[in-house]
Amino acid sequence: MDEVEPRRRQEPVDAPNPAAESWSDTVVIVRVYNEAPVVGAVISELVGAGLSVIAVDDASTDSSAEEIDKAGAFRVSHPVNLGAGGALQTGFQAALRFTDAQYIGCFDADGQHQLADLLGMIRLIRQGYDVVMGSRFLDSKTQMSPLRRTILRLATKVMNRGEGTKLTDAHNGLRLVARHVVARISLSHAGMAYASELEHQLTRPEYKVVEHPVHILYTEYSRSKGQPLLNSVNILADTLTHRLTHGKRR
Amino acid sequence: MIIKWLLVPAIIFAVYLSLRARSSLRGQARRKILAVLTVVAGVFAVIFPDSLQVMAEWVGVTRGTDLLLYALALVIIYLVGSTSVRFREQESRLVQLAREVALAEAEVRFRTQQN
Repeated sequence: MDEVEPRRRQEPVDAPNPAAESWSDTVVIVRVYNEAPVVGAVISELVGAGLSVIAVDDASTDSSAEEIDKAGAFRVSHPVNLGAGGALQTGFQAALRFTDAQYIGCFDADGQHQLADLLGMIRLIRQGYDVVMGSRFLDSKTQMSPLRRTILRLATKVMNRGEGTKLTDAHNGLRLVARHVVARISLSHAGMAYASELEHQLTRPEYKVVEHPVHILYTEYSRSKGQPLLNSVNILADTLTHRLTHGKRR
Repeated sequence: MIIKWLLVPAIIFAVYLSLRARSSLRGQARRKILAVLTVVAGVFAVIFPDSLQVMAEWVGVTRGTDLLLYALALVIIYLVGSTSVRFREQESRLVQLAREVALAEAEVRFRTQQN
């Protein structure tokens, strides 16, 4: 189950010519749901940097699928909308089935994540980590409203208490995970409440987990698409009922 | 008041039962027995309208209709819980099915791309 391929030798982190760095050991999963105006540019940037991309089209009703194909990503299309957690699980399974990448990353389609952050996380995971999580709170580059910051910090506190881990940012979509960890992921939440479940499965005690500072761009577009803060009530309720009905998670 | 000692455990039991209502054979059988009992009780209450009142006074409720109301509330609690659990189960099956369809379709394109 835990067969780890021998780690490929990579260029030193401060190679004289970083442009020549190869990212072929990583595949990036992008979940796309009605993001036609921006998804093309986001995927093109990733592909242009030499990363292979699997885009999970979560039954978009706009022209997202064509944009994905044009941008050069491998597309997996859900026949019906399954939600963020469902799309992520599909992406993980597609990555295991269609690629032999050692590292599998998650990247948002709306342009709020930065390519440079992801590349930094790849350099970090190559040093022998199992999971690299992006965190908005390791430095103060990310601009957000005080209310949003407070709620996210509170959510992180609640989650940390439940999961026995110490992370600074619980709901960050930018993650990089080693293949053997992905092979054990099984998300039963289809909607947005998958985050705490995923966190739980990524932070098993035997994994080496590290955080990497990331910079989130809250553009006008991502703000209009992002989750309203009230949605945290949904997430909390889903998480609690799930624990009630399924008992203590293994 | 016997009714208090009946209602509180009944509510807890209804919630407990409904949340772990898997579509098992035993659960199905239980539901069928419950349905038959409901019909029998309904017919009985129609033929002997006073019986409800007698039963109500017996457990310490003023009116027979109130007893009926309590029973109805319990049934609704059970129904809401078990329906949501079954809905969830159904949903998780749908997710797996849709994922398999998506991956199978992608696999076809993957193979043709390689050739």
